[in-house]
Amino acid sequence: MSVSTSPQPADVAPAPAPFLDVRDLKVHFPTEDGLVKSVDGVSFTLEKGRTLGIVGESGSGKSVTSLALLGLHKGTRAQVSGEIWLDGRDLVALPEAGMRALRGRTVSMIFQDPLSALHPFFTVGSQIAEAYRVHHKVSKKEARDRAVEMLKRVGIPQPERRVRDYPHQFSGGMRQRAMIAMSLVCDPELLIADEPTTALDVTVQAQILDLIRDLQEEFGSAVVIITHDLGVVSDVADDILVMYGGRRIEYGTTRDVLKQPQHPYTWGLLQSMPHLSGDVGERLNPIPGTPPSLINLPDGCSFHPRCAYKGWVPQGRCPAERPELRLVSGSERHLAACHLSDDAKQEIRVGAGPDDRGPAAARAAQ
Amino acid sequence: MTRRTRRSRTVALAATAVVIALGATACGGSSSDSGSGTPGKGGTLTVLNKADFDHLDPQRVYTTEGQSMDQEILRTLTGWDESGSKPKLVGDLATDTGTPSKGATVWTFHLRHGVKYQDGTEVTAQDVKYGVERGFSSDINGGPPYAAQWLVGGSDYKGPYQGKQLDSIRTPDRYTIVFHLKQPVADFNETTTMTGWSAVPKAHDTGSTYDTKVWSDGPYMIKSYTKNKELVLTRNTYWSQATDPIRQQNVDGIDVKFGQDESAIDQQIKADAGTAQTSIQQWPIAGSDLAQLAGDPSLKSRYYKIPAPGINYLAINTTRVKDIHVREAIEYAIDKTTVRGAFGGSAYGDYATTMLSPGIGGYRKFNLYSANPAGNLAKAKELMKQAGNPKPTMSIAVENTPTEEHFADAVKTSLEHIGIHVNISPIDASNYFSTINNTKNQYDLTWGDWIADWPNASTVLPTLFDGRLIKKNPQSNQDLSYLNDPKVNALIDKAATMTDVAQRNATYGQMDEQILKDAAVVPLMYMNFSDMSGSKVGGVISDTILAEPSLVHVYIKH
Amino acid sequence: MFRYLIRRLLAAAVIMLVITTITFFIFFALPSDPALLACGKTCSPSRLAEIKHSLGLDRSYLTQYWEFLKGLFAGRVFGDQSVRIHCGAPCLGVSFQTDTPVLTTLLSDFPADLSLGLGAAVAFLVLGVGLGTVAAVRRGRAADKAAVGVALFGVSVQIYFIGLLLLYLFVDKFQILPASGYTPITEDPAGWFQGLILPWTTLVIVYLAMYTRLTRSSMLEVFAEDYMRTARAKGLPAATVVLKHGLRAAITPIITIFGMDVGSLIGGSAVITESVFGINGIGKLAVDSVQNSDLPVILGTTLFAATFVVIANVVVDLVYGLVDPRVRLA
Repeated sequence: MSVSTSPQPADVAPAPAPFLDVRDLKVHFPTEDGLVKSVDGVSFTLEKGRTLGIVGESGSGKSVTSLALLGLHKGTRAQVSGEIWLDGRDLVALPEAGMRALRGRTVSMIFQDPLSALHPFFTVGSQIAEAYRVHHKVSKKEARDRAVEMLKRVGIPQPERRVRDYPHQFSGGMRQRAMIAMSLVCDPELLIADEPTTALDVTVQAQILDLIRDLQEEFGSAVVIITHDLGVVSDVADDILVMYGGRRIEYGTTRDVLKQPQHPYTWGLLQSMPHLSGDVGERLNPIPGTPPSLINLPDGCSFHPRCAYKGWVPQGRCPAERPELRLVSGSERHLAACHLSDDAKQEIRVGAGPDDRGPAAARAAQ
Repeated sequence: MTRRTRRSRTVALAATAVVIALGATACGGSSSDSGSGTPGKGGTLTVLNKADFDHLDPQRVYTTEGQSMDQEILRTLTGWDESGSKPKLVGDLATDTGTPSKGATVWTFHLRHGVKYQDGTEVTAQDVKYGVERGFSSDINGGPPYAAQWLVGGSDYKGPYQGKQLDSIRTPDRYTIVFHLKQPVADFNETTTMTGWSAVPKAHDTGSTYDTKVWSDGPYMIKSYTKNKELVLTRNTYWSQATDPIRQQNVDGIDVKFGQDESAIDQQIKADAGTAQTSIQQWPIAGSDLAQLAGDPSLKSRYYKIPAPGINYLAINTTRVKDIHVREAIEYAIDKTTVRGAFGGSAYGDYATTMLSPGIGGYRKFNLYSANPAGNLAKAKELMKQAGNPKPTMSIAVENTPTEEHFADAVKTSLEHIGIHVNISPIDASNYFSTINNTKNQYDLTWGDWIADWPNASTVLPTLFDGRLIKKNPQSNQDLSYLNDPKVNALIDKAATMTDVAQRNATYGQMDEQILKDAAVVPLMYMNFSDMSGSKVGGVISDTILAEPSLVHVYIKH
Repeated sequence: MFRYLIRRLLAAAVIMLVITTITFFIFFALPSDPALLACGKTCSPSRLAEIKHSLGLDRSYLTQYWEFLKGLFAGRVFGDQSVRIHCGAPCLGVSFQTDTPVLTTLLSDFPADLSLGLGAAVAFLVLGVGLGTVAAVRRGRAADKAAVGVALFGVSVQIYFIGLLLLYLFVDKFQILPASGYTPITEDPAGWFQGLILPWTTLVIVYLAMYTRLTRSSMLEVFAEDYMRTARAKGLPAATVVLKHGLRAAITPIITIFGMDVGSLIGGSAVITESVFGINGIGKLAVDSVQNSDLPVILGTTLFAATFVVIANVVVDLVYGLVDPRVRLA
């Protein structure tokens, strides 16, 4: 394998195995139109107590990656290959029964839209208690007490009363708190949060992120936050993995990625990020174009059809040659896959952008 | 109640032939031959009927099923002994077949002594008088009209419930009853075989609810009767064989079950399993099953093909199809073989050439038209030519059943050959007769059938062809040909006054011929009705009066 | 909730009044004349008039209708000659044909319909939902195709055919079962059950198709819901996910149809089944009443059936509220 499987260079002396080690994960879906390569060779590691942010547009493969971590592709048409090492077990090879024992208990997940992710016909309390009882031999009463306790922990007022409520009786923020309570009820070691704040008001978003961070400190879990919004992860993540078309395009510490973004796509993401300190009415800069087809990825760099800087790369390499994921010079574990030379990037960053706009990257890092 | 009166026991063609056919191929000849059993007492006969009786109340019943069942429960003044080769008129409640006065306007009957009701009390002449009288009440409706037509004062009498009696019925003593009639009725003692001429004890009369509470003086009495569900008869212990020349009391009881689909009944009795072995049906075999079952040799010993005193015919409306040549052409043109095919084939009945069927008093064999039942098109065309080759369009009224619509198609095909275009008017089967009997609804051609109330032409031709009645009963007109031929009317009046049976029958034969000379009607088939019983049912007599399997001698083989 | 019920019941009463009115006046628009039918085949106009009078048909339609409505609340007395028939409130009238109060007949026929309808309904619900669930879980595989095939068979055969075929096979040919029919459960529970097996089976075969397909499609829809993924993500066993989380949500649309089916079945809509198997229920009563122009029975059976459909509607709404907490009955 020419591409290193983790931010550490492969030739470094073997350190103790990371808590979560994903290697060359591929998730492909056969369809009538062809093979959809939703995730195509993704690798990353995560230690306990740390947070990884996986960032990308919809269709970039980030959510499919998270479902693979839960083993939820088992028993479907999806073809999963590669390795997912969690605490010494390979989840890809694990049979469904073994995986089921881990779900909710060792690995748990907070879903994007709590209104649709919670069952509308069961009370919030019973859904939390159910998640607890499936992994613990306790009475209904004990499970219910646990549910109340969890609701209290995630900051729901009057939890004894609200435990009997149905999801539709909760506000959006409370629902997400309940969802978090449900995913944390078994003290999971790995918590995956898939767009945990997308469906929420801006004011509530911050509260929820704070909550996840607080709980992580309390439980010491490893957390994967999946989002399309770099702003969400900028505060909470230790590492950031940027995905495009089912592949990694940039991976490094949050500080590196935000301060020294290497990939034009990452720049685009940063530019399209709303900023509270920005001028009111300032136009966001969404990345032009649409995400690529996962059946027929563009040749060469899969981002090149949307890339404004491909002219900076000589000899038309972008449409022809797929860029390797390379260590960014001067960095220990910052990886990026782009043909742009360091000089070119430097030039672009000082303001010679194609549309004469100052790069927002600097602003974002402030 | 035309649907189930004697008039129209139409055998509906249901779409079930497939199952019966399947049964035939799957278990051909499987019918177990347990027919070797001997007659004996005991056991219960099960009767499987698709629907409940119209009535069991003797003054109201007018269906053959109900009348046949009433024979088990009650006795009439006179009755038919059908154990011989021909039905024989005998005294039933009466000691003999009655005595007419000269002129046949006063009839006297003497009752047997010791005929007892189910409570042990004796049947009296007063009870018979009361029974006949109650039939005049508008509450006790549905029965035959003869008492009201013939008894002196009958047209104004409204029944006994307001305390009035009918003076033309006299009871000089407990055992004598005398009827005074408005006109001579030579076959009055055949009328009195009908259930209306039976005894009802006043104390047990429950008026319009008497159907379920008929007070028995026959061999069986009602044990329980839930309308539309089940009738259970049990022995009347006071009945005595010595007083009854017609009936026997072999089985312990009769269990009549109503409401099963007719094809399911056919199938069940054919399969002859379990209680089906001791079962019989009163409703005829369904039209769709008929050809199949009639031809099954394994059923022969328990298949009853009963000739009915009835006729299936096509009336030609003489006031609409005025040209006699056209009517005659129709007589020649109709292919009776295809017509009979529509009704179920040869099992349904023989081709008819007269309105009176062979079992009826007055029947005379003649054929005025085509010798070949398939018709004579050459002759028909010639007659149309004589009529000036009109190209008329005619309407035909039939019931909206598959059977009748096939029949209408057969008629249509026949008549197209001679340039008559036919429009078919299917009429809802349950409302068929109330529709066509209303003079407001007239068609060029009208299908009809008729079963005599007793086997005499007097219950056929005067009812169906007396044109003077059309105006009298505009809503219940039976003259579907709208024939009002003075010659026919004169013969009707002449026959009515005749007391000599032989002479009278000759007059009716003449009348029959005159009607066919008028080409007022195309007689199609003399009807048969076919029923089956299980293999353990014995003693079934073919009742050619009611066209029912008579149960008066029935027993269960052991 | 209580107010909701009152409102629904009032609406139901109005609907039933409308149904009765329509039935009543349709009847008089028909060409058939019950008096003429009762009168017999040779009926003189004077006799016909008397019978009309004794049946109460000589008065204006409005008067008759008013009498009928009054009878519903106050009861009536019928007959003035041979016998007096007391018909207590709610009086649906007295049959022209049998001179029995219609309600008495309806109530005596009802246990048969209740047994037939409820028994079959429970069976086709359980089997249909079961088959549909299996089909949905095994979507596209052999079990799915088999379930869909079974359902297709059921929907394409006629009650008449399947009923007679079952009768022939089980009663006549192999004699596994006694002749079918209705025996009250109070008289003979075993006989009740044996007599109803074939009618139930017939109805199940015919209704199964719809419930299988409905469950299958409803289940597949639910399977795509986020909360199903949540359930799996919790580590719940597959059976719990499908049966508890999946079925609970998928069953709601089925309840509506089931309610209507049960309502109309026990209200007497299984006419052909009743007829084939010799079960004297309300459906048969209704058909016979139309053939006999027995107005009181026509009205009675119509009202009775309507009552059950209306009740079924209200019950469905109530059950909906229980099943789906989002539905508020206010």
